[in-house]
Amino acid sequence: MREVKRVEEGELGKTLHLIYLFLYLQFAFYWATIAAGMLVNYYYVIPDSLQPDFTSIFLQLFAAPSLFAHVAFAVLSTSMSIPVIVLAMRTKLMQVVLLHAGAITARMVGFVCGMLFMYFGSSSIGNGDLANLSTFIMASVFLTAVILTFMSRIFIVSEDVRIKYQMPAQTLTGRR
Amino acid sequence: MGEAQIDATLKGEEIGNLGLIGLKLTLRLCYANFIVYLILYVTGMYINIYITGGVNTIGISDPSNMIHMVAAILNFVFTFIVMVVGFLYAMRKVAMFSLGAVVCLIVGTLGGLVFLETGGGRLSGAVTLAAGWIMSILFMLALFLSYYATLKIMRAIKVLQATNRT
Repeated sequence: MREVKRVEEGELGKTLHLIYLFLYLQFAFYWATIAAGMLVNYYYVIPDSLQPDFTSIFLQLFAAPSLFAHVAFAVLSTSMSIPVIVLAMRTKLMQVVLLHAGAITARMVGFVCGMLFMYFGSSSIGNGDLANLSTFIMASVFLTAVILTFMSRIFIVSEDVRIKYQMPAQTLTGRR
Repeated sequence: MGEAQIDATLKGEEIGNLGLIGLKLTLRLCYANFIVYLILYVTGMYINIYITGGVNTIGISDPSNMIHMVAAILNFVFTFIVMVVGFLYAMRKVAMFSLGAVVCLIVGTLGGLVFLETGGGRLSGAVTLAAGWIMSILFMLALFLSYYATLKIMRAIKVLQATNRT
């Protein structure tokens, strides 16, 4: 019985370590997204040739290196939530699952707002107010996603400490 | 888990000698720091989108810039205090993460000042844009480093609570 518990502890510990690894990667990609996003912010100008349709806007994502890097890092950082969700489900950390699901949703909204920024900023639409609003929402939901993933780490630390210091005590108490 | 076993496991932890109450106070300071970071981010975003968007420029005395700068100063003060606590109470990682954040905040602030002094707009030239970029990425890096320092403090609290120590 005690051996089984030890194996469980070991497995949980390994899973939590994997979650930590993916979270480190996620935060690195978050920062890279910001760095590339700021390059877009300061150096990228929507070309006059941009048409206000989905294909044209989507292809624009690949037209400028800074924009491509920004989107690529955004996709990478968001996708890191998927293994975290899978691993958190395995360890039954439902708060972490919900927080990362929320982060993915926020990033989806941000992606749509990014596309809308291009749409409203195109010369044929030229609606500066809505373009600004789209950017503001995009940046806000990005921050929301960062906060949600930050918060998830709190639960992971708690679980890690519980496994290290409280689970063995529970095991021994159970044996008595 | 026996006392000896707990002591052995605790050797891998960085709980320092500040004590539970002190750690909790420091954690509250870290939370306050995050609220200030939030204000800093939102005001920066507002300035970036609604003031310096297009051909407009911003000066140092602009009200939104003043709020932004006060927030940056508060961030510096809070992060500096956490760094000192880390150094004084044997929490090396907290100290090092906070030191990194403090350096980022200083260099980022210099970047912001260069941005303002060289024109404060998107069309003010290459130096202005580079300074703005450096300011933005370093403040975000400071946020991430402060976050890791906060996590270390939080972990120390959880460990002390789990082992019934003060």
